[in-house]
Amino acid sequence: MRRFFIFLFLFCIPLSVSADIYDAADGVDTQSATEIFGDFDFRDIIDNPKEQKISTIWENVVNIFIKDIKTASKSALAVFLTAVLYSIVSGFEEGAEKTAFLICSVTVAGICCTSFAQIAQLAEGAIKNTSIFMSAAIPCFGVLLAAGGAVNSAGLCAPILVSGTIASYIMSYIGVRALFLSFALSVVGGISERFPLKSLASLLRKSAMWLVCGSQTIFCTIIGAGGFASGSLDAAVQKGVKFAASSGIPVLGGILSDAAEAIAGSSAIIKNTAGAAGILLILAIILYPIIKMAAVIVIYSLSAALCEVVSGKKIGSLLNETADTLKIFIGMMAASGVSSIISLSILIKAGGL
Amino acid sequence: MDILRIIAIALAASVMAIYLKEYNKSFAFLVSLIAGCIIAAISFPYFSDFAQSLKSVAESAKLSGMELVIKVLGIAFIVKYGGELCRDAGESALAAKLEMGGKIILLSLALPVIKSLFETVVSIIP
Repeated sequence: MRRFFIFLFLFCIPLSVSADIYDAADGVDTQSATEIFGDFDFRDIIDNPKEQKISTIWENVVNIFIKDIKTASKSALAVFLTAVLYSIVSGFEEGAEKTAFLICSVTVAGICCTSFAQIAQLAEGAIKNTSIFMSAAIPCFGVLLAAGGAVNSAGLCAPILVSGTIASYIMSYIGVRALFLSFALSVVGGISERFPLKSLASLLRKSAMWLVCGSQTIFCTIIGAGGFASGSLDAAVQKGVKFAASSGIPVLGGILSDAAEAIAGSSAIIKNTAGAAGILLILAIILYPIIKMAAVIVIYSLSAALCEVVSGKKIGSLLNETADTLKIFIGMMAASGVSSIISLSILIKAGGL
Repeated sequence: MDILRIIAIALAASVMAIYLKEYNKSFAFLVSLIAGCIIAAISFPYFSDFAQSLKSVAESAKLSGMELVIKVLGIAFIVKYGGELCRDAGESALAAKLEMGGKIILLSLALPVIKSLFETVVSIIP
């Protein structure tokens, strides 16, 4: 009977933490995840980890890509038609034709800007969602690790949380904003040659890229170094604690030692399953905007090549700038997602459980 | 072949204008004006066909804004044409005023597009 109550008490810790991980997943805007996973309930991954509908997920990914290719083709067609009209007046440098020429540029810039704003805001939301999910989930993993006896690995959560939060702040408050500003400058610079802003836009874009790369490298170094060191320490501590409990505590020592081992195993199962669910959720959060952006990049790069043939460099370079900025956005989202996945993987593997 | 007709009209009008210039400059201008109008009447339907086909492509793809671009281009051509006629008559100042008027009309037509671009750029800037 005593054995039963000790088991029951110790089991409550990982169970309550798994409920917290459910809540962390609920707090994140999972609309993009729903688009990719369809009517798939995330709790199913934890409840029935073997029943994963990979083929349905692939179908959804392909469908989203095709749908976005169609949507992007519409704006590309509008740009191409404007480019055809633009080519008629592009030879004139004075009079009312120059105004018409400017109006064509403004129309193309407007089309590029609208599609960029829609997709980039989606990407910004995805980066923020990843950060919210990670800051909600990592403390839960810390408790699960501690419950499993990996006390040193649980200490990993603090540097992951702090450096991850700093890296995501740098990305979303400096990197993303610098990219938005650089795109706005390149659009204004693209409308008229009287505003030579392209170099400034390019400088801002490059700085944003380097800043994000630097912060992600530092983040990965911190969590990687911590992860390697803590695993072996935990194995030694666990053996020591088990020996001390079984030999040092009279009567209850043996039971407590067995119970602790069983709890460590069960919390490892919950931690690993929740970690796998977390990785899938992060993939879904970042995959949706990445697919959308990839579709727009493909279509805009193609139409840039076509428009350059029809109407010269101006419209082509505007489309190329849009595609290039979106490529950096993809890089940022991938960096954010990969660093979150690395953190989760280190936490899953942590403690040697 | 409309292009041959246009060339023939232009050449004949030029010869007549050169000949008439010696006797009466006003008649010479009238000849070039009439020739210009005939050339416009022959060539403008081609632009109209081109604009119509672009418009139908835009409509089939449910694109908005193309009508405005076509209208802007049409106005720009007409204004340029009027300006050139004024310059032929030796009225460069009037041609400049006509072009200025055309620019104002074009800008007022394009105002919604410029405004929406401005709003989008402002919404993008953090």
